[in-house]
Amino acid sequence: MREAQGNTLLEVKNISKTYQSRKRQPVYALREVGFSLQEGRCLGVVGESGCGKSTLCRVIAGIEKPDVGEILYQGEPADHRKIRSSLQMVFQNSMDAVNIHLKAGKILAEPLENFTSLNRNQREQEVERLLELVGLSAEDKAKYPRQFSGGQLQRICIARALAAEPKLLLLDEPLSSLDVSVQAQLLNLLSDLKKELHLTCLLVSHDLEAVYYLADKLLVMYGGAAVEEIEDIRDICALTHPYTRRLLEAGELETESGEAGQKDEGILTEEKREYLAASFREGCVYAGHCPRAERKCFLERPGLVEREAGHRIACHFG
Amino acid sequence: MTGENLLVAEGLSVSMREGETWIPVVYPGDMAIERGGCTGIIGESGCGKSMLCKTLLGLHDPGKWQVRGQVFFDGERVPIEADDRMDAFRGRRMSMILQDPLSAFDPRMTIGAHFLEGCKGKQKALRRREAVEWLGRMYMPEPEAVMKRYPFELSGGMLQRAMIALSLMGEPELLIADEPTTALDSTVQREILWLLARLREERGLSLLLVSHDLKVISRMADWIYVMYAGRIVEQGPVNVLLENPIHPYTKGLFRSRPAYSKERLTVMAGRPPRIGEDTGGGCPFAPRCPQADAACGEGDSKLERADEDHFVRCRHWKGKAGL
Amino acid sequence: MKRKFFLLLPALLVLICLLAPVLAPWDPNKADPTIKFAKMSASHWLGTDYLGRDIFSRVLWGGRRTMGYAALVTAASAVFGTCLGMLSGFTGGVFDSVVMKGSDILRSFPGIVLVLIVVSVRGVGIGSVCLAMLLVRWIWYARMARNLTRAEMGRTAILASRLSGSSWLKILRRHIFISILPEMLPVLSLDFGGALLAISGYSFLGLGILPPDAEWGMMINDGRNYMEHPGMMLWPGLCVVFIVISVNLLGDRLRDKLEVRRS
Repeated sequence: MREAQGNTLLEVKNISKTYQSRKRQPVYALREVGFSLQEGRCLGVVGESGCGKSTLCRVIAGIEKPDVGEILYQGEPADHRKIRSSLQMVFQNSMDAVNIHLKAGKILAEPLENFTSLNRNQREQEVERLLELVGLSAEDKAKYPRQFSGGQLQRICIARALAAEPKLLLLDEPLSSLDVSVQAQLLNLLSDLKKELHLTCLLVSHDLEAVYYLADKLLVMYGGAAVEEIEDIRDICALTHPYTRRLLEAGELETESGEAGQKDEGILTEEKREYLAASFREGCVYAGHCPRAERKCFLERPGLVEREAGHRIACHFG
Repeated sequence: MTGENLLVAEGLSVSMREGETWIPVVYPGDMAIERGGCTGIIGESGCGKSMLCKTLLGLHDPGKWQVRGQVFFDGERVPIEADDRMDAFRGRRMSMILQDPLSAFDPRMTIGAHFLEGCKGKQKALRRREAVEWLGRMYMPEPEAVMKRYPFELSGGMLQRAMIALSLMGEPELLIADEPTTALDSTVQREILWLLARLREERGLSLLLVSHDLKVISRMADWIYVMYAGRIVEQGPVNVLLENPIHPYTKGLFRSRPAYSKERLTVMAGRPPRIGEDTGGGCPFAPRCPQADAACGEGDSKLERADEDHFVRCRHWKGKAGL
Repeated sequence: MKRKFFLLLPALLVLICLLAPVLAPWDPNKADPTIKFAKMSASHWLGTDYLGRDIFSRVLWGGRRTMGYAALVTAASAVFGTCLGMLSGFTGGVFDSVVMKGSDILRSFPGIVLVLIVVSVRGVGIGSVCLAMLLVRWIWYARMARNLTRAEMGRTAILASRLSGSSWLKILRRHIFISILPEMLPVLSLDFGGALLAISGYSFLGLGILPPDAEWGMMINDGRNYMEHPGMMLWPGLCVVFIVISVNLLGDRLRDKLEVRRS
């Protein structure tokens, strides 16, 4: 039932990244995250705000450098200057991701100027082709970003990313600032493009349903660490990590149980904060919120281990 | 509707001033909120749902906004046009929480200071005790400590709890929640919704829940209004609406969300019109509607009764309902 | 329509001043004591001054000089300041703090003191005044360009451009410059008015353009001694006021337009 495994396009090996906060506290954006992505497949990365999923995207795109770890592209260590054109990204806020002083045609022409040797006329034609590819019309190239709606502008951003003819497309929350009906249009567009252009995708989102629709495999992140990974997203119900369970149940609403109210981190006393910070450094990232957490969870971080074929989980209790 | 109505709005409309002209934002419509119930408004950006909420609380600047129609609260007329007379209602009988809790708090004041605003001397100690009590009721861990914190020190979920506590201090009967969970993570979202449901159960609080998220509305509300381009296009009890939506927009909206499936989504073409955008005089949904015909372009359709308490604003609701 | 007309008039004045060599009926420096303090007439449209020089010709030639030098100073400081500011904001780090600290030090000198220092080193003359003005005026542009660049750098558009394979130079030129230009233009316009006033002021004090060449500020100074013949002060004074008000209005309008476009 599993799809034939293609060549591995991207392999992320144990990358970590730590920022310094203003109070000189380390902020763990990524901790030993690793996965591999086969050609033509789509990996969905889900997690809540601050879980490191956007940082992961940026590190893979080469915008930021990991402190530790390695990114292999087609089996070789990624040199982002060389593979720039085959690795493109679509950002969350389309209005912020384009220069509002440039017309759509100019925006789309930029990657063409840099990556191709087309002359001016050929570029024009290519711009028109790209616009039509993402469901806009050729006349739209003379419009300024302001004249587009959010959904249309996101289409332009997708077209810009596709102009470089990438192999790997990184989608960083591409839908989250759009209306529901427009989201659906873009979901269909992305799924079509993925098939047509044989794209390999990495979709970062907080929206589990949208990820389920587009992605083939799933990676769940919490506190900068990958807590669970599954090869076939259709087995989503088989996920067992307490955090993933909670994420899956978030859609459901129970009015009876009182536990939902007390799960928030709360205000911490200094002592408790220190203790939790220490456990966050060394123990399981989710221990502080996990209903099953035991002493071991606070002291020792579980690694991402294969429980069954195509299902890896980072939990002491499996 | 079975129960007694707490709030009734009749012919309520809102227009926005632009230069010399008034642009309709919310078209005249009627609305009722059941006592102890949860009424939901669902719609996309620019459909006027937030405007409607603000209007119910009389929060519009009369220079920029024109409000027509009547609002009755518990049978009493609400002076939505007179800011000074709204004090008897705002906060005391109905209250509101907003989408972004961080912007609702003054960053220079502690959470406690927000609760004590306008209190003097002896009142203060009393009020502080009350506030702590209310925060505790919101399942806020360590409410005493929270009082001393600044807004930016709290997480989004905690801030939203504090905001709910703050708006419930005056013991209002109606809480208007304008996208209360949109800015929050899904697990936190669930906690806040759970809290609102619990408040409704325990205190008999009536809710007006506004959201673009069908899931939130369908789980919480027992009566749904669907809004599009400033108009109520469909309304009815939640089970009726979910099982048998009639308006093509409602149907389209329900189908737009992938529900853990990989089946291709049926999408509505186009996008919702912006506020003030010219929709050509006809049904505003006609350009996106799969079953629109020439008649739809001429004159807006009226809200018609499709079933006992199921209303639809579509001229083809009968003839083409099977589509 | 009315407001357009209001901008057309100064443009006309600038144009006729530029064409002074063609339009001026008399040699501005040719003194003729026999007709000093002449009233307005067909041959001397605005009368003559205390040496019998034609005031109309001198206003035209003076305007050419005053506005010319003001434009020169403004343009030079704008170009230098903007480039440095963009570079400083773009690179950040040590270079940024050196540039900003340097500009702080320069800015702490009062303009007039700097002019006096330069003049005492290089001697009196318009060159010294322009140099001294340049030394302080670029700071404005550099600070503004730097802050705008910094804000622009935080936008995803820059990241997207990098991913599109653009070089840093191209990003600076194509994205940052284009984005900050509309915000810099009103400042440019306002600053031109300031520079014009400053040049007139220094010439009024005898530090700038040297006699016998005409210059508005100097002409006003000349007229000061002959209050009974107000024409000598009136016309150049009116011109200065008129041009400065116009460019200020222009700057305001540009800003208003930009604000409309941004919202």
